[in-house]
Amino acid sequence: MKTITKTCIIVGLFAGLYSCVKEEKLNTKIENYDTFVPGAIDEWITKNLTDPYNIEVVYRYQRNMHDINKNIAPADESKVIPQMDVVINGFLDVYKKIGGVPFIKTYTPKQFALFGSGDYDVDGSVKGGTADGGRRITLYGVNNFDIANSNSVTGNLQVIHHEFTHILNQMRFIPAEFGKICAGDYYSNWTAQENDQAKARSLGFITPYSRKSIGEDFAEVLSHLIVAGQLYYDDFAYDSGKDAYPKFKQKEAIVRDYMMQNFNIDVTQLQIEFQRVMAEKYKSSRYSATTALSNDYVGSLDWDIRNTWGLENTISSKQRSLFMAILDELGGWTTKSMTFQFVSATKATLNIGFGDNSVTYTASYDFDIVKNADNTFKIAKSATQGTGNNYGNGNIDWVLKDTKPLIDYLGSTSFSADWKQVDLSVNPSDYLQFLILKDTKDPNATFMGKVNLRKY
Amino acid sequence: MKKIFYLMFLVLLAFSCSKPKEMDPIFGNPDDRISDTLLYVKKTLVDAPYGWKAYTTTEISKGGYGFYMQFGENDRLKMVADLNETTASVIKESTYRIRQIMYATLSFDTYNYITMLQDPDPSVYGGTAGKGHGSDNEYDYVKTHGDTLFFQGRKFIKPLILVKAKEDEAKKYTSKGYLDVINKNKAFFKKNPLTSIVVGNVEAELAFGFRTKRMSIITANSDGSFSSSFVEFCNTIDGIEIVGGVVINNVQLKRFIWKDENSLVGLDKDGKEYPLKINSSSVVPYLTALGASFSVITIPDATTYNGWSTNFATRKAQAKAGINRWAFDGVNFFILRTIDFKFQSVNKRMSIVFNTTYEGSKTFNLTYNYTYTVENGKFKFTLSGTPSGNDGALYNDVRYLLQERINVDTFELGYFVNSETGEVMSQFKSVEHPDFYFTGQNN
Repeated sequence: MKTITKTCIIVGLFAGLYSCVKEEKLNTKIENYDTFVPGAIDEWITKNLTDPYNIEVVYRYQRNMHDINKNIAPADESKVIPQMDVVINGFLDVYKKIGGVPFIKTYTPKQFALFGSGDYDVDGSVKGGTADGGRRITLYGVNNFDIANSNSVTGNLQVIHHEFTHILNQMRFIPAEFGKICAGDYYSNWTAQENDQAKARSLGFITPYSRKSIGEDFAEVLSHLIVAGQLYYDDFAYDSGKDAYPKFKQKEAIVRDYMMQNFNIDVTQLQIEFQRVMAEKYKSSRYSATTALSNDYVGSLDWDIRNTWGLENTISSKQRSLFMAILDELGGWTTKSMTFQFVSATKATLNIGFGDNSVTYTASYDFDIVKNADNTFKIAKSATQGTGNNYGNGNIDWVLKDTKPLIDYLGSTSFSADWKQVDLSVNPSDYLQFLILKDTKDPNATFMGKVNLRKY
Repeated sequence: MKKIFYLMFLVLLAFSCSKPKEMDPIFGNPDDRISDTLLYVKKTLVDAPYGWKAYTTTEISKGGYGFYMQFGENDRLKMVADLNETTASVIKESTYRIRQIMYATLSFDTYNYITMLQDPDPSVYGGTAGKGHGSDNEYDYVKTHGDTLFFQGRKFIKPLILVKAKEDEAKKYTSKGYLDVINKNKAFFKKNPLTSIVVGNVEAELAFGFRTKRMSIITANSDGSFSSSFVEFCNTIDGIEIVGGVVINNVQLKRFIWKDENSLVGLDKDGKEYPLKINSSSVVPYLTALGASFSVITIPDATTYNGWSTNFATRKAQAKAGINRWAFDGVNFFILRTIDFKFQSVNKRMSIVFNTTYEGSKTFNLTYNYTYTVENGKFKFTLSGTPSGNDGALYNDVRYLLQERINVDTFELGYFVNSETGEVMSQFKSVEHPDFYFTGQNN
């Protein structure tokens, strides 16, 4: 009896154990209804961005891609391809060339979201872009994008380079010393009226927005170095005053070092490549020597062609004959230096230093610089010269005898301005180093000078 | 004792397999339902052979806007809109999507005319910075009623009503016919600013603001007072649509259509016609309106103006020259700009304010206070006290207008329709000097 009972219990238990095992089929289907019919734009994106870089472009409105409390207009279809083409040329390809294919494929944001209007904040400011979690760059205001306007092109690229800096910062921290340069001057309420450009720059910030936080400051410095250019940055720093200037330069040094140490990228090379693309593809004149002269970015030109740079570069025979007449000797004295110093966008002074081992004199001449309608420059001796010994020296017969041919020649024609051709793979270190004035009447007559920027 | 264990075991065994049975949802699988709705909305939109007439309103600017849309199977749509000349005449193509967000949602997911209302950049199409006109680009499907689809904006909760278009309507919409009707509507109401409609025993005065896209309705109440209200309207291919309709004397008026080349009729929801009357003066008597619907009459800063007599223009110029002799600092002289007649009808007071500027845009005002009486519709103004301070110092310089006319004459005030702009203004006419009359804007 007991055996039967036990057997029953054991069998029963097993039966109980398995009685509930049932093959259950999942009774729900998971389906995504949020699809759309792809069009020509989507094909272009797949071919140019998704396949090579695994980048998705969300140009069709998705509220979850922006602050849902905001009202933001969708992008106009006609702006999508031109805008993304600029992203490819002015951002992806630049970093691809300088940082290498693995770099850009690894670090590039994998998603671009485009919106038509700006992102309006309650305080009245309008956001141009945001970066999220190192993955996505959101560009606002795409509907105002104008491919024919190089300012519009560079404006959006400034945003992209700025946002990309944030993404790099999420991979490698900003060095602590960067924040120490302007410690105490960061100001989250950056749109406040008192934080105008004059105030921000006097504290060592490139824009009022830089004051918002260390991260923004860092991104503004790098994006300005690339997009606004080195000359703009240096000129801005110099004009910000003696106290601010070193802060700008320290920040620049840290940013350059950061890029080199962490990503093996030389910021100068980025600048060269970016500006080449802008000039060639988008007809931007922002980085040209003409712009540099008319914006008074250049401090002075070293015209002493006996220096090393003069030996390493090709000097035209015209320049050689006119300059060497002065440089060989002046009335028996040794010529020590020859500098063409820019006083403003319309004024310059030619200073010639001469003397012997114990004394140095300077002979000076003032020049008027007039920009012609065709972007060339007229450089003629000013009718009214400065006063003082230097100008007196300039009028001495035996000085004039050698300088007059050059002065007369300068005044007799107009000059176009150009940088010495720089090729990334050949002479990147010559970037922004040599300014060439070319006689508009005689293309063989070129005057090269070594550029010196103003500094304290 | 042991038996009880067996019993318990058996009972447990008996229940071990019983499971609550899965309920079938009463309304079917939610997944199927949303997919059905999505398919239905898309199919309905795409299948309309001649596209859709659409109307919406805005939350912030409170205007009505009309559209014509054609939806394609390939998620693309074509649109014209009653926003400006370009939007009314040039067809713009963009994408759309029927998405499942919370409901089946019609999303205008790339830029088109309808998103101009939602654009937060005021330089695009006005509106408030950051908010635009208070409109949406995503609309939840609500219901279908006959040939009409009802949607609702996801954020500003404004309706988007789509009505199936007919063949001839589609043809007109797509061949710049929309702009023609809009211009025709504007021209008609510019020429005839005072119109009304009679519903039963109620006459309602209508005024159409083609810039604000709102119309005002003024009706007389039985006690002699007046009620006014605003509704949003938009232009359509055959007239004007009152978005959402308006109730006048228990009749829901839906739209106005062109009856013939020169007249419009109102239609109620059953299609009954109510002719639009053209009036030469307002149904609201001038004296009732003064102090109620407007209380300030502003004489514009001009040398001549519609409804001004030569005599007035001369005298105004003299006053301007008089004021211009003065300056705070001897350098920046006052320049007369506008003149305000500010009425307080409750206590029968009126003040005349000469608005002047100096040194660019700095302002300086001269104010003269009056009391007034009205007899047989004629106004008599009496200066209160003696002007002092700056008002006193410059009083003699405005004598051409005040001491010689306003202070001593009797005036008839009434409506004046500016024949150039169509604006309804006020006109002052001197009884004693028939050559002295002028007009001003009602504010």
